[in-house]
Amino acid sequence: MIYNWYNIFNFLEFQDTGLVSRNLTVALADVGVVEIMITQANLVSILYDGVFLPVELEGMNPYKKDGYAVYKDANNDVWLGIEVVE
Amino acid sequence: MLNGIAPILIFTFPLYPKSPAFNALSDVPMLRDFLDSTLSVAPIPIYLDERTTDIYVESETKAIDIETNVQPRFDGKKPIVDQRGLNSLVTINLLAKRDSILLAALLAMIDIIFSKVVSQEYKVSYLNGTTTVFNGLLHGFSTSNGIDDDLLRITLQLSKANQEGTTPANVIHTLPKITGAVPVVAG
Repeated sequence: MIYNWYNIFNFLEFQDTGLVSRNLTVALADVGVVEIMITQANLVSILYDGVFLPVELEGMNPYKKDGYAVYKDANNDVWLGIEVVE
Repeated sequence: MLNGIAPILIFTFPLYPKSPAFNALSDVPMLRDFLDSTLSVAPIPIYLDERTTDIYVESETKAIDIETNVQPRFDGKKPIVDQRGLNSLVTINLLAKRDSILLAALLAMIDIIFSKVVSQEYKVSYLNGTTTVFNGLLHGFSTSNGIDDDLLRITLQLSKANQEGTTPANVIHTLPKITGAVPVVAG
């Protein structure tokens, strides 16, 4: 599956803040202005469009669900993926 | 008292048009102030004095709204708190005699302001002792008639939301996309 990936935040920097959650308002190219919530419990996760995307859940990287995906790269940057529908 | 003998409402309408050229000058404080003071129609004062203008300030209230965002932290440290000013409102309740000439002028000013609300080509100032609004905006206006008397009850709300420094600029960053099975960043 092919996704459009957007670099949302850095995993380690967010962990260092010690925050339980953070709301981001960002503009995604070709999508528009969206709200993304980053949460930290047992796992760091992204909540986007009602879909909960835990980073590296059970070792899955990227983790995919309902047309969206989350991926952590070698630099610990977390990417949100939106499936490209052809 | 700044206002002198009685509470006063002052309406100011600029003469220069809102255009990209003039808007570009808004970041130059002294030049903008110069334009505001020299290219305006003379300020229109309306004294709110029952003896001279038949308009009387019955009561006034002042309210400030602040949005507070608290983001708690896992480790029990002090949470991150963001605040921004939403509005600073002064509500003035007036009583006026229906046949007052200055009342007709006040209602005409409000109608003119309503047509300029989008462009904000107007300013309203209100001075009454310790309650002052300088170059504020009209937030609300309503009137009601009494059946048993010849008085008009007016509620006028002035906002100081246009003052500097209460709301951070809303900067939304645009994130570029990378298409593929996984994001691969060059280099």
